[in-house]
Amino acid sequence: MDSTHNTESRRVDLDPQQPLALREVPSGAVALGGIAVLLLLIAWILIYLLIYLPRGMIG
Amino acid sequence: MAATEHEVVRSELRWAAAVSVFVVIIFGLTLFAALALHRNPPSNLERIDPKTLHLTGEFTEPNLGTRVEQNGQVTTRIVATQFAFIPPCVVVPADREVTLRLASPDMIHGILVSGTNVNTMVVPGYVSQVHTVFRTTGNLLMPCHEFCGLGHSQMLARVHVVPAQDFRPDAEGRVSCEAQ
Repeated sequence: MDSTHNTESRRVDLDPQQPLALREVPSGAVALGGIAVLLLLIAWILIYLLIYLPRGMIG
Repeated sequence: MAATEHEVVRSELRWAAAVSVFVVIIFGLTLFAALALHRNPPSNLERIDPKTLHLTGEFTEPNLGTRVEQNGQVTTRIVATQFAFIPPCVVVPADREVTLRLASPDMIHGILVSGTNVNTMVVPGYVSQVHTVFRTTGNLLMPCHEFCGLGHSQMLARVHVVPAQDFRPDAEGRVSCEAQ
């Protein structure tokens, strides 16, 4: 049994009606998620560098 | 089509790796601030009896406001009560470490000083303490930021930051807004 046959049969077993678009890696979703997370990270770093650090020490 | 499942797993692993890198970056910056810059959330576990804090101890009326201690430490004591801070104005020196100590006799209040990282809750039964250094001079607002009743929005104090040369304590080490 080769891996090709194994993968193909498992997919069919799971959902034979699965749309073709969902069988591929959803690169658009990855791009959208990646951009959203990257924007959040950039916002966090900007607040850290431009607001939190200049406001001085506490403790 | 044969590689579909493999590609899904690979993209999941890439996504996990990218997010892990972000988490490590944020965690690293937080640790850097805490360990190298000594920026930590104010934490002070010190009990005080809210029923008697205005009668005995350091939060009696003559002790409130800013005072330079024997060792040169600048300490500002404030009582947060419905719906005012006592005193409503405090003077602190710029570029010098200041210790803010607050207590509440009635209910939970909170303070922040605008434009600084000073931010703490004031919980009855405990003394809230924040160490900080004010870098800019001028009047900073210090509102109550924990809803404490109908007069909450009127509960506001002023932190008057003066240059070090204008910070002149009296014979007892006290500095008040009226004297400035």
